[in-house]
Amino acid sequence: MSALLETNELTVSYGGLHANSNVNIKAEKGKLTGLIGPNGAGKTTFIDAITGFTNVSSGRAEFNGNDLAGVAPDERAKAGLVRTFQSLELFEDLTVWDNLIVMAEETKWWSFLADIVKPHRTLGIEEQAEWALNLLSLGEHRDKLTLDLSHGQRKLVSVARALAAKPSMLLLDEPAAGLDTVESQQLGKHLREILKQDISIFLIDHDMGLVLSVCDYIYVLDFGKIIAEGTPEEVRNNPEVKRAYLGETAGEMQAEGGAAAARTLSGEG
Amino acid sequence: MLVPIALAVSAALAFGATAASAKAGSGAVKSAAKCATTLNTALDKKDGAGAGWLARAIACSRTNPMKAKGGAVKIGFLNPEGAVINFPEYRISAEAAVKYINTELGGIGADPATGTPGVPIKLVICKYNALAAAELGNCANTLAAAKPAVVFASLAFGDAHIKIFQDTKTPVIVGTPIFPADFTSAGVYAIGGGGGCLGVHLGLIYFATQTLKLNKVALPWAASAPGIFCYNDLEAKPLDILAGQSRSGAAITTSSKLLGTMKGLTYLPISVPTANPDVAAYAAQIMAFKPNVLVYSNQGNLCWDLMDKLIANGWTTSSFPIVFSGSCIDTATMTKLGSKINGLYTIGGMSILDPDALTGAAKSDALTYGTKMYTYSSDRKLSGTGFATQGFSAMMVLWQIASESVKAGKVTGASMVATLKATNGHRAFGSTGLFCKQAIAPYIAVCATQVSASQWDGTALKAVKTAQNFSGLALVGKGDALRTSELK
Amino acid sequence: MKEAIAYSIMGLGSGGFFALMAMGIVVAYKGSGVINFAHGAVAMYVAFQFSYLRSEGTFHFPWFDPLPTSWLNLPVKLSLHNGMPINFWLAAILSLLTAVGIGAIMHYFVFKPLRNAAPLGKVIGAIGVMTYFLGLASIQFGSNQPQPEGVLFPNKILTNFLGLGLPVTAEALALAGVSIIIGAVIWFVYKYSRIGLATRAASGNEKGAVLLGYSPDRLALFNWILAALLAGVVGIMTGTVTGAISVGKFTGLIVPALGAALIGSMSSIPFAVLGGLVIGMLQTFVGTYVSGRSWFPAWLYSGARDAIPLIIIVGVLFLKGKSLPVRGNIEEKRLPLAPYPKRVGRYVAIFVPLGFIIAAGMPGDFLYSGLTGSWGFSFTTSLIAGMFGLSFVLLAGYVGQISLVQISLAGISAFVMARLMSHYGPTESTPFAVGGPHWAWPLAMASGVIVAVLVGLLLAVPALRIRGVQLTVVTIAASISLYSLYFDNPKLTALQGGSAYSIQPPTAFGKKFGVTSSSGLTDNPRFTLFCLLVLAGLCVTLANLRRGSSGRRFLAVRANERAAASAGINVAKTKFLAFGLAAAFAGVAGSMMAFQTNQTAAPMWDYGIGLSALAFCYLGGITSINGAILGGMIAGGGVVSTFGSYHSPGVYAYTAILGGIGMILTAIIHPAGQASIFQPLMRYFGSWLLTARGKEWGAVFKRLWPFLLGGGIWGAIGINPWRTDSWNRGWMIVLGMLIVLFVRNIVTQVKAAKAAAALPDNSSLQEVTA
Repeated sequence: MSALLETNELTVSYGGLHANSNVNIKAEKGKLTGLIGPNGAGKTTFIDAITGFTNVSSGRAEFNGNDLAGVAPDERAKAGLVRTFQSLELFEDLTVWDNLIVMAEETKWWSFLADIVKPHRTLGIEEQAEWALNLLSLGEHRDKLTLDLSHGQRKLVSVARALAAKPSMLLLDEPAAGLDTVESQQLGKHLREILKQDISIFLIDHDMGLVLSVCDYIYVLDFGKIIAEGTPEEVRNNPEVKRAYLGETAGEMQAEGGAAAARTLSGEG
Repeated sequence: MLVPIALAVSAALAFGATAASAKAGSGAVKSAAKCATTLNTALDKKDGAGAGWLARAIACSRTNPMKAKGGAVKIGFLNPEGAVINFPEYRISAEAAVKYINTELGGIGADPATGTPGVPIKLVICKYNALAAAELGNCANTLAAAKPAVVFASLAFGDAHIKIFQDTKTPVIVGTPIFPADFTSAGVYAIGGGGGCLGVHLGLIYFATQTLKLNKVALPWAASAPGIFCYNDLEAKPLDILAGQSRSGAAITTSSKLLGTMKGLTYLPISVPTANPDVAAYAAQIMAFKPNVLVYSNQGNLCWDLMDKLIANGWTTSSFPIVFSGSCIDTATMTKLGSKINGLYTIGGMSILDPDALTGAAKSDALTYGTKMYTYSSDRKLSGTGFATQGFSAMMVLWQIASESVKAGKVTGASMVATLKATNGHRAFGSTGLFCKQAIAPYIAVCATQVSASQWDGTALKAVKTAQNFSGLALVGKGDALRTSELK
Repeated sequence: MKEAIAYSIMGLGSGGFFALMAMGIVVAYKGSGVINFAHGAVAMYVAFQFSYLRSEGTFHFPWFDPLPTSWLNLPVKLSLHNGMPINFWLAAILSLLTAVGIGAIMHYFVFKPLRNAAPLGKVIGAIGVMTYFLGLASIQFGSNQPQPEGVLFPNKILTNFLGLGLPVTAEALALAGVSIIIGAVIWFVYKYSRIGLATRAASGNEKGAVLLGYSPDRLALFNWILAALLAGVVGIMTGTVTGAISVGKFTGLIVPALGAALIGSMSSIPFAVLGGLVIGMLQTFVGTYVSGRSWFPAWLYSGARDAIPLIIIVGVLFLKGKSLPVRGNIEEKRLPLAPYPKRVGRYVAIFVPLGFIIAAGMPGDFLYSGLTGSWGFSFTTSLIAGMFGLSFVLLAGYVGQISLVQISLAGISAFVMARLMSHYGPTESTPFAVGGPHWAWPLAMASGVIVAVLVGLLLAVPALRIRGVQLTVVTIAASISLYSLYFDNPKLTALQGGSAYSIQPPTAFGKKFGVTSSSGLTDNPRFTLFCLLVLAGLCVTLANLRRGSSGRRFLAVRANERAAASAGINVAKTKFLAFGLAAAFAGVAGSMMAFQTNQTAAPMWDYGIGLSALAFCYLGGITSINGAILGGMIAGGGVVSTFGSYHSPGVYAYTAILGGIGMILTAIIHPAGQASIFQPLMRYFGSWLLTARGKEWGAVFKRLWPFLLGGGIWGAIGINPWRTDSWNRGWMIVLGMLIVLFVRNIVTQVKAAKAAAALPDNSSLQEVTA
């Protein structure tokens, strides 16, 4: 398989309900792949399945050519498949810097002994964390607790945290939710920069504007099924997609600069 | 619960006149009248050494009450008063006794014949919460640092204090021994009547097997810290010795030859959990064993829980005799059960709660207790329990011992201990007498192991004439071979 | 076989009792997400109420008289019938009304304010209520143990029941029947009534209840009253089945009941009832029939019965796995922040010598004669309680795991150490001594700690599958089982009947570092120093763990296990590490406790002692190292309580009541504990002390002199002027100043906190200041 991340007929069901059915996705290396869909389409379920937070009922998922079945979430993360959460889930007792470090560091069974002797030892990952911090312009907040940051800043921290691990693939779960237009555009710029660092990105969002403007290839999910895929241009013109979005909300879909639509649609639970 | 209080109060009322005269008389102390009552040494032969002295002192305090004077003798007082393990009555009755001693009896070493007052007793009290282990240690340090003549430990939950008292060379007088250290430590003297479970549990076994001569014993026991010890060492082991066997199968090298062995002796031990809500199944187990006697000791009403269930399971007075320890006695509950438990035996130290059930010196002690608690207790409601009588009696005994040790000069802890150590059948207020000299290893600390049997007649407990002031100490066996062999 | 069945059926009495208790626990949990450890204490209180109404017609109010005056009093009881018993039905109704009142009070004053608190806060609230009722009952009812009245067919027997050849009491069957009927009624209410539906909806998601038109508060009130009513039913109905009423009654029986409630997943009434009946039957079956068999191993004799709830709880949890519901609240607060320890080295350099000077450099007499001896000892008590508290800080404060088994781990360490250090077996003068290999103390202590760690790791296995309050239940069951299976089991410990291992003092460089000084009192300054150094060592260890990679992982797991896993953290391994390390901390504390008392025996390691240690640590501040140390200072028998009881002997009887209220208030008002009040003071005090020059001192005096003067005068006349022996002590002036400064500090902080709270929220505060 040439794709970095690939699913094959992936199905997740809760009881009789199929949250994802027979989803086939390929995310190429060095590319920014997007997954969009209206509220409740099963986007977060998909990311949970890929990262090991929910059980796959049938089908398979491969990362870097390795079957992910039975691999624990933390091992997937260590293998380079790192995600963010829509609800951020920052480590609130830690400073911004420590949030990044905890992601980046490799621990051994004897690490706690080393901590007791020398808690501030150099871990060899500082550079990487520093890079992630600076990339998202968080340098000045380095020693603050995440509780003391604004929501937008916390969003950036969650991305920086994921980046600090130097993943080969970054899974972003609704990174634009709750951001204003400027912040959203800023984020798009950051994402392109990240791609340059040999990090592939898998972006989940319902902010059509962001997804259509930055992604190389897009999948559209509705009722747990892929209803369309293609380049941004192809997706934009797909009637299925239009129906899925417009059929659900009274709001009008704005293909470009779609922050307004993003706000209307945000709040997927 | 109400009946003993009522008894105590009615006793107090009956002697109200005396109490009133005591108050009036206290004004007469200044004139230091000589007391006309003479020492009746014949009483010593009848009731034990020091009996005549005690009788005269109490009689004189009625006619010529004396206030103590001079530097006080300090007595430390250690008492558990926490949320769950809480015995304020032990302290309150001891305080009442000390007030009585200091204001009417003339204190330690008073001489009524010449009207010379003695020195007062000063209690240094330390209360501790038995559920916080460190508080017992705190109290031990505080009391030891106060340098009292002796420390009185009412009933100690834990034994962390004993080493501190040993290291500071502070003699410890134990009221109600519970933990093994109370029974076996050097420098400790347990004076409470019945000697805690040592006297009582051995007495239960002795009475059932030697007096009643019964050989199929149902043996429920309280699965709590002191209960395990009392059961293992003082019930199961004596029965094993009597049966001529040990549970480990090892031969008994020096079993108790004093009593010989009983052929066909069997027993059924049943651990009765304290944290189990329904004991009916244990009662059923007992009934199924078809014993010819049952012995049981527990705290107060826990005994009657089992009794209720035995009755529910079909026990009647004709089934088999039941022998309870004195700590089970609860007149209110027993009165309620009435004739259903006719013939039930109790084994214990003397109880001075009910003067009408007593005669002689014991009756006089009970009357003194009732009246003086009425006069001096800071909380009269708490007078009607066994622990209240023990607190009062203990202070009276310490006063007796201290007064006697005065003869040799100044009262010190050492002089009191010397007097105490030498006791052998000494009269002790409110109990069956002190026998420190007879204490045997490993229970070297226990001075009072004599117990008596009483029997319920449907309305009251009556003394069993053939079983008064006996001790089952012989059942322990010299050198205690059984336990050592089991341990190896 | 027949016999086995018959003995199991006899357990229905206990079973019915557990079922009724379990129902109350489930109801309270459904209503407010609280595992109500106080349920037994409430049942006990109502049982006393009923018994006193029936014996002397006295009605007690569930409060105490806090007024010190003898002429003005808050009424605490009413005599309804001139000391005569009142009618059965009237007494029952009044008792149940008492229960209703208690339920309402618990809701309004404790659990409503705690509704959005972290699970640990709720646990502390429940322990606070329990402590309050234990204290209250011992003041109102003393050591009386009235025999309860049989309500359900007392003394009826069914001989040869079902042809099994053995008699069964009618009461046992009736109680089981009553529990099933009441269970059915409650089940029906939940299933079909509107308020029941709302409760069920709310226990899934509070938003749901709001949609049904019920405020969560009204629902919680309804359920608390129902739960208290059930406790009342237990207090009245179980009558002769459970036997004599005492203050400690029912509280110890909460664990089998919790087990039954867990079988019902804390939500199913029918399964809770079934669970209660099964536990009762099994316990009785094992306690009578099984343990009477010749094949039954003697070493299990004392513990098998008590281990049944644990076995069932763990079994259920493993079968059900993660499906145990964690109640969804609209907003569940997290534990307070775990502050980053700073200037640890400087702290140690300043406070170890300072502590040594305060504790040992000054003879107890300098304070006042009343504290001679107990001063040094209570100081070491506090230090060791602080060490023990650190294990809670690590596990609960840093990783969010509420474990109540730490006290058992401390005990295991102490017991193993004692056993390995011991030398000679029993002699004539020490008949209860236990022989052993006579290892050197450091080796024995290390071995003890290692064994504690191994057991701690074993107990961590269930913690991997469950969290929050469920873990609390498992660990408390484990603690109780360990007590009867190990500590109180002479076959395993060789301790005959409640005796203690005696422990030789530790030595180093030919000097004894034991607690006993040359005077014989246990106030040896060397031991104080030993404790200070061990505590400092543990503090530095924990601070470094917190500051290093382990601490980051701990706090990540505490914040969110999912996010931690997504950060590449192995949550299971991290929890194992925390349980192991916390066991080591507890183990060290346990060994030090044994050294401090020169001996160790089972009662030191009772689960109740563990509960109160947790509560004190929480009062101090469970998420910080300072909190553990402060918790040690206020722990039972520690310096603050020794000071306090010296100055206010009249308050002694109210210790439990006030302690309970203190726990509740802390959980509600100040979940971060008292340490956060001291934090600013402590942060700068040490370095300030070293660097301040005349000018700084002058500035401080200028600001504080009225307080210093006032406090000094107060101290000079004696903090408590009636304690005449404290009059001529120079120290009292300093103490007066310190107390006044402390109070001023609290007032300043509370004012500052109020000012901060007036602003919308934290993040906006940041923005404003930025």
